[in-house]
Amino acid sequence: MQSHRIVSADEWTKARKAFLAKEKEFTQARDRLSAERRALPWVKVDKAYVFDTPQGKKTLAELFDGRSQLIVYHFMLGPGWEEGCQSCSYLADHFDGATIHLAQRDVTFLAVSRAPLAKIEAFKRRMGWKFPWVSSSGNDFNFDFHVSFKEDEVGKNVEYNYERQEIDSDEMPGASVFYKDETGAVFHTYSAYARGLDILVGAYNFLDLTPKGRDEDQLPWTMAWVRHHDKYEDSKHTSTCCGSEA
Amino acid sequence: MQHEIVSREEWTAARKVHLMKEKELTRLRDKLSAERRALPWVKIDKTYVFNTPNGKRTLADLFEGRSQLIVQHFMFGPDWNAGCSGCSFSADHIEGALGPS
Repeated sequence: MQSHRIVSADEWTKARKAFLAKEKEFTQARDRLSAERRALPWVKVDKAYVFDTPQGKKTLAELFDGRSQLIVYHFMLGPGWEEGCQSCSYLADHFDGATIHLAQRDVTFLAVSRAPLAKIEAFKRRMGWKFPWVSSSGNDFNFDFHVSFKEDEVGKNVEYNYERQEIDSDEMPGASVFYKDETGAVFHTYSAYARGLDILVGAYNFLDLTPKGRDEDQLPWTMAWVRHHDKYEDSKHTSTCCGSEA
Repeated sequence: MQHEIVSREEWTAARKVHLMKEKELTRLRDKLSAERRALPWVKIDKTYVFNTPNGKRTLADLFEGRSQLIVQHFMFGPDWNAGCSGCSFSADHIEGALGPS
């Protein structure tokens, strides 16, 4: 790294306080945006989606699992894929820590992929994840929420992230949120794609605090450095903690 | 919970307006992160020594071969029986960023 300005603790604190004011502004702007998000209108979901789950066939309403709010992560794992997408896996590494707490706030979280359930289950075992993950194989769910595309749409202009753009895969990342009312009616409240998912990545939140930051400017694409967590060269001894030089 | 229910077209129009604001906040966040990296640094001259499962380690040792170190100051005082539940909530999200043990 290039040399950096080194100052006294007093000088640092002064600069840090000026920056803190901006951080507080950002936090307040984020809270305002979240409030505006909650004020968005909803759309009633009338289509009867049925999913394959480890507990058998379930409708979208049943996936709420007794809660009134459902977050779905559209995990890129198509019917013909050998393994789940690396970047989705990077995001998914953060899910398990959150699910138990989300349940306390009336939120069920799960992932949905178009691959058959057996393929999902095998990959989930390999990655050691616990969050619920169901298959939309046989329904239009991931197509309707603009994260899955027909073979002849790949390389063409399709709707993704609320605009027409060329996509290079039959699967794209996204997250969708649903609400179920007392009568059992289900509403679509929100979907986010692309960098709209950025806030879900805890490791990025950490990297944004570091001197080198995300350090992705020289890469062919932002997550080019990301691998499945069992494929990093030093993955066998990353978290042994404190001084293991092995 | 009473909420405005609209057609898909109306929803998408409202969602696109909100998306513009989300993109603004994302860019603001990137800008803020760049400003954070531009902050000056302070040299640590004190010799802190920590007790770890692998014995005594200095702050410099804790970097474990890397050049950057993030420390969570976990609220768990000498006479506490358990770590703070708020810190534990936060800590539940750390494992995913570190990778499997």
